[in-house]
Amino acid sequence: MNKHTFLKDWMEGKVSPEELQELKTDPDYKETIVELEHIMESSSHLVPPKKKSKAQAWSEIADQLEETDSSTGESRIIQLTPFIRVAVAAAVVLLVAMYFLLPSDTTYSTSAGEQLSYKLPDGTEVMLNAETSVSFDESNWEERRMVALEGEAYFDVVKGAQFVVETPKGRVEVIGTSFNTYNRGEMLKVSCFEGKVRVINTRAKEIVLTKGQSSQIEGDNVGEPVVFNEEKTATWRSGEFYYENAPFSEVVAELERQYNVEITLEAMTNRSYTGYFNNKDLDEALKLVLLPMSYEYEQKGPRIFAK
Amino acid sequence: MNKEAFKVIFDQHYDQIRNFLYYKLGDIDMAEDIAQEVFIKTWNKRDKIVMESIKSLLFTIANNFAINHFQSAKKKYEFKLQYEDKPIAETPEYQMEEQEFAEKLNETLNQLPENQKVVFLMNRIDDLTYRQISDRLGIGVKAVEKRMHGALKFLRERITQKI
Repeated sequence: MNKHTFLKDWMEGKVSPEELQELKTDPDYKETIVELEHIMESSSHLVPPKKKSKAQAWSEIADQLEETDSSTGESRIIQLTPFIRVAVAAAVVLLVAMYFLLPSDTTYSTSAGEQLSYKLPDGTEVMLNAETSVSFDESNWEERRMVALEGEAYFDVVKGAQFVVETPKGRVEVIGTSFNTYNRGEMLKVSCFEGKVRVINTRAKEIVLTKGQSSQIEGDNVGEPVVFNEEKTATWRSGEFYYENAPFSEVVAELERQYNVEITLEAMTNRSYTGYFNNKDLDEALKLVLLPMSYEYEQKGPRIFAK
Repeated sequence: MNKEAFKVIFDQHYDQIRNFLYYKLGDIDMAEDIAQEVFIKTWNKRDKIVMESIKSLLFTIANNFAINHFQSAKKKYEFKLQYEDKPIAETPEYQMEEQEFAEKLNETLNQLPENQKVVFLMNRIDDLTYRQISDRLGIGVKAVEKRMHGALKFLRERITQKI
């Protein structure tokens, strides 16, 4: 092998790992190999931009795909004899009874330090932040698109019938949209990224949000719609967390969820937090969150003490 | 073919077609719109389709659409660097270096001849083998290798020059 054919040989897989290892010690090749590997490795992590999800792209064209073949059969009506009627009625009762007895809820959940994305039966995408669960009745999905949520999730809803998210603090109703729902402790916060959603609290107070608006429900109070910064909201989906005048306890709780750690504060400050952290580097995140709030901290495994 | 069967095809190939169009056009809105058109057109031709060749058919249609849109396109690639499988801690310095490298890569990709760029990105981003690429683009495996080789050579020269 010589230097001129090396690139070609390497690409065609003609250079064995052992040979490559050996060549890396050769100053003539070392630099080239490192650079090539860097290009190959980095470029495999490139992600093209994305404006709409696959599900959305499909739902937009689905209506335009006309089924021209007209071989739909006529429906037939069968007259039942009295005996069969009874039998069928009983079978139905039995089936229905069994159906209610069987646990029919499908649940997706994430633990601390985990984020997962799921597809619901209609293609709606739901992305769960850490310590979040959604459950829904799959068998009844076509009739009723409803999920129960605890935690925080981002929904990219496929157009169709009403879509409902139930939380202990209230419900969110949607028709074809994407939005983020945050329900932790006493707070429910909904941010609408597209389309329209209606938020209703447990006292039946409601509010309609349009694109770019968010609202908070705390206690019986449903907050007026406020405009949110789309670049800094629900960015947990890319592992980033931005806060503006947020209660510090909320920020610490998120930090615990993202890294699956336990943070003990000697005293909870009543100052609010404005800043940023990400879920890639715990040490950096702790610095970004705790130091500006004048906490000093110490870490012992998954436990962090701050005062 | 009914809609459900077609949806399976759509789900299997949409991302690759969309990416392919993006590599060619450098405009994500246009790439997404055309990707949808590709599938509508394929649906309308469904009676004449041989299933074995569906992949290359989709790519041929996409390529033809892309050629029609070619002149008006202003290319500016905006790839992001994303390590989904590596949530482990990395130093901010390392992240910054990687980000810088990714920017250079983006910039250099803009200058790469189109044929080479498409092949290179299909291999790196969509994880397609040379054989799969050759099927989709209707060119020989040798030609794919050649373009890949050209792309790597070009990228390495430009990127290391700047560093």
